[in-house]
Amino acid sequence: MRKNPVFLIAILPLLYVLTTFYVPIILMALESLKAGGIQVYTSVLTNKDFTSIILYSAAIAFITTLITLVLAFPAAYYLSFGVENPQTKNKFLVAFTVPMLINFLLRAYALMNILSLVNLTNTIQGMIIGMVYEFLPFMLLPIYSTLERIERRFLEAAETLGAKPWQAVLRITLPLATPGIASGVILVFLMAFTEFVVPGLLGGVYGYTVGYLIWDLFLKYRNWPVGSALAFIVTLTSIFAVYFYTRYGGGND
Amino acid sequence: MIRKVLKIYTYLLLAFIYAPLIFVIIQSFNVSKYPGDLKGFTLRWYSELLLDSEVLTAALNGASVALISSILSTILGGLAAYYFARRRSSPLVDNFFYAPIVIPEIVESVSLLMLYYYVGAELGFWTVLIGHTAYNVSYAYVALKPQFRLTATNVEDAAYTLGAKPFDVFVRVYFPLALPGIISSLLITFSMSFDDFIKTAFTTGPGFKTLPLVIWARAARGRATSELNALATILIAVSLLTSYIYTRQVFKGKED
Repeated sequence: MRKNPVFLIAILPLLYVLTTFYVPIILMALESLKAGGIQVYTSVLTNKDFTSIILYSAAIAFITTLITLVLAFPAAYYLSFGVENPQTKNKFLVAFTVPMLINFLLRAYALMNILSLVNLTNTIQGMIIGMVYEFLPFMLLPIYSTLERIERRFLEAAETLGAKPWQAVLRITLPLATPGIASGVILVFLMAFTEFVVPGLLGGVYGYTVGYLIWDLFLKYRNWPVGSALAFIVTLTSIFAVYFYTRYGGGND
Repeated sequence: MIRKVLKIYTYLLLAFIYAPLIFVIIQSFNVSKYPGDLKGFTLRWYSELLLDSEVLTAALNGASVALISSILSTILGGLAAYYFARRRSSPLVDNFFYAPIVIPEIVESVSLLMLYYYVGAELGFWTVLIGHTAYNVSYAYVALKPQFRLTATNVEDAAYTLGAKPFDVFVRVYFPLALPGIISSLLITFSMSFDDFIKTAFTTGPGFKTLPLVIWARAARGRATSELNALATILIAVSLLTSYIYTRQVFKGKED
């Protein structure tokens, strides 16, 4: 009869991920505490230069997320409610998914060409357009998938009971789409917050974000304790966000 | 009426996504070096690309790392997926493998650089390969576990009842059924590695460059160049092809 495989075969992958991912992270945590314990963290969080870069990155990420949400929702809504033919629907989905799988750097580079035509390279606007461009599908697809799960009967009921279309969208569709919106928002915000390629290529002097700061602290200034502390703060933020996401967001996907 | 507006809007959004890609492709065949200044068709930039030894070496470097990493991680991730797909779902194990995907790549990369520094590893091919495989194992696990769960155990039971040996069951029953998952795992991990920029930048040493590093170094210097446009066109074509195969498989699977 069928036997369950022995644990031995799972040891190799577990060990691999342990040594190449978890051990380094622990090492980084220890490194950050080396110079003076928890002090590094307080000094990072009270350092005006660092906090202003962190806040700046957060602001850029916030604006990017907001624009992406506003742009993605109507299209996701159309895909879910406006397209009836499942084949057409699939074609649209493929069209939105395929560019997501093209290299980030390449897409940023492609956009750089067009932005240079309208003199938007090395500007804050160009950088934000670049991030929106990169992250749009990551917002659209989770929203689309929750919209797909909404019971169409609710909307029929609303119509029968005399609700105007915009009332139905505002009071039924939107609240029921919240999990998808939350996943998209968290996903895009996190990616934008630590994004490095787009600010580096399109942002010019405005592209100095947290990702860049960590890069410089390690490769340029060789300040490992502070770099580690900063990287660890970013890690904890993302773990928290992902926890929040699986708990309240699209956890039941 | 509203539907029509939404439809036009959705097409415009797709145009926004595809326009830059199309523009690069057009530019790569343009005689003129200046964007938007269409002067005629040429293959000159492609032939220059073929003579550019830095680009060719980088392409070869990237392809060899990606090939080995995709095979290695699909085997490792596959072993884990095979083992854990047969147990009761454990969030602890799943999260163990999800973490490398979720944690920002820059954090993963700096910490790995520290480990390399502590053990005194010489940075280059091997350190890049080990680094890419670190997150690729997780991608392979995520791609393969659902597939392994779906592979009906009763089919296997039937094979055993009919007297097949465990090895035969694996090779002739299990493996063919899991093949779509294995192919998507190879595709994902290959492109993750081939396209990787941040982790490569941190874990590579002098002399070992991949294409994203070359593009970064040249594009950051200033403007788009015709040669880079040609390179970008080739890479876009390759990723469009692989991602098209991949997405078709994914959405086909959903229809069934």
